[in-house]
Amino acid sequence: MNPENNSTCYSNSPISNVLFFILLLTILLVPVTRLHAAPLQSFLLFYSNNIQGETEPCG
Amino acid sequence: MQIKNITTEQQKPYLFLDSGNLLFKQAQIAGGPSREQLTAAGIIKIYTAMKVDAVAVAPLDLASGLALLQTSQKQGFPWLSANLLDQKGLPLFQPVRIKKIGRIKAGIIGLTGALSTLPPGITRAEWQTVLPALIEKTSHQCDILILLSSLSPAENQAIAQQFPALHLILAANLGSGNMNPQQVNNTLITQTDRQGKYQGFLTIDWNRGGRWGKAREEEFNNLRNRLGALDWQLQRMEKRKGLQQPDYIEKMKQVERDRETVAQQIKFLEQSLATASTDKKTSPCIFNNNFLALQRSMPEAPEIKAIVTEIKQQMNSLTPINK
Repeated sequence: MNPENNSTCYSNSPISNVLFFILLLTILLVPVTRLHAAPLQSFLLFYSNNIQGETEPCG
Repeated sequence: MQIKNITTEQQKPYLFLDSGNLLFKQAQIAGGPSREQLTAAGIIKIYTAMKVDAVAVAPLDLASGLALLQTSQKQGFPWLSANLLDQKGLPLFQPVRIKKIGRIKAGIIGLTGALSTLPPGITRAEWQTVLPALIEKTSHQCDILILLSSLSPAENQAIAQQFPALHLILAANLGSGNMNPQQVNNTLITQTDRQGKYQGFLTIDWNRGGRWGKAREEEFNNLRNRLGALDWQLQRMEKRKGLQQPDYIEKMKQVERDRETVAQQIKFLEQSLATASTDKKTSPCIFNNNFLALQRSMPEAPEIKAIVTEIKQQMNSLTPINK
C-alpha cells in the first residue's frame, strides 16, 4: 500500500483528533463516582431536643 | 465547635435542627427580668450564631408567653409550629421550612405537643387536622421530609404509620433518653437525651427513591411471611373443601387471589432489590447515627464564649429579688 494515496490516514485526520479530544475531556471531567451508583446527595444532620427542658408540661 | 469540626473534616453539606423545649426548664416562668429570661434570650443568641436551620416550638418554650418567641421570630429566628394558631385560626409561626442541602431539598415541619395551660390568644390544633394537607403539599416540593415533634411517642408512631412520605421524625419527649433511630413504616424516629448532654448526628446518603434501606428489606420479609401464612391457610381450606358450601369455595378463591398478588409483589421487590446497587432511583437511602457526648470541658467557639460571658454579666447585674 502506498501511504501517499491514503488520504484518510489515522491520527493526522482532524475528525480523529476531535474524537480523541472529546474522549480525553470525558475521562477528565466525569467523576468516577458518577459512573457508579453514588448517592444523589450525601449530607450530615445534627439534631438536638430538650436542651433546657426537665419537667413534663402536662404533669 | 463539634459541628464546625465535623463539617470541616467531612466537607459535606449539613442541617442543624432542634425539636424544641429549648428555652425553659419549667412549664411556667414569672414575668419580668430573671435568670431564666436572660438564659432563654442567651440560648436564642447562641443558636443564631450557630446558624440553626429550624427549631420547633415545644410546650416548655411557651413558659414565659409568646413575646420572646415572636420577637426572635421577627429577627429571623427559624421557629416552626404548624399547629399553634391565633384567634383567627392562622398559624402563629411558620409551619414548614424548605431548605436546600446540596442537590436536594429538605422540607422541615414543626408540631407542638400538648401543654396544660396555653398563653392567652393561642389555640393548639391536633396533628390530624393540620398534618395531612401539609405533608401532601410539601412532599411534592421536597426530596426528604422531616418532622420536628414534641408530641407523645404514641402520636409519633401513629404519624409514621400513616405517612410513608415522611422520612424522619426528630422527637422531643421529656421521658425519653437517647433513642437510636427506630424505623416505623418508611420513617425513622429518633431523639437525644435531655439537657444538652448529647448531640445527635446522622450521616445520610440520600437517593431519589426515598426509601430507607432497611424498609425495603423489612417489606420483603413481611411479604414472605404473609405468603407463608396464606399458603398455610390454603392447605387447611383444601382439606375441608369437600364438606363446605359454595360460599366457602368463593372464600378460598379469594385467598388464592391474595396469594397471587403477594407472590407478584415479592417478585417485583426481588427484581428491584437486585438492581438497587446500580440504579439511583431504586437504591435505598442509608443512614448512620451517632450520639456525641457533650462536656463542659470542651473548647468553646470564641463568638459563643463572648455571648455566654455577656449573659453571666447581665445575670450578676440583676437585683437580688429577680435572681
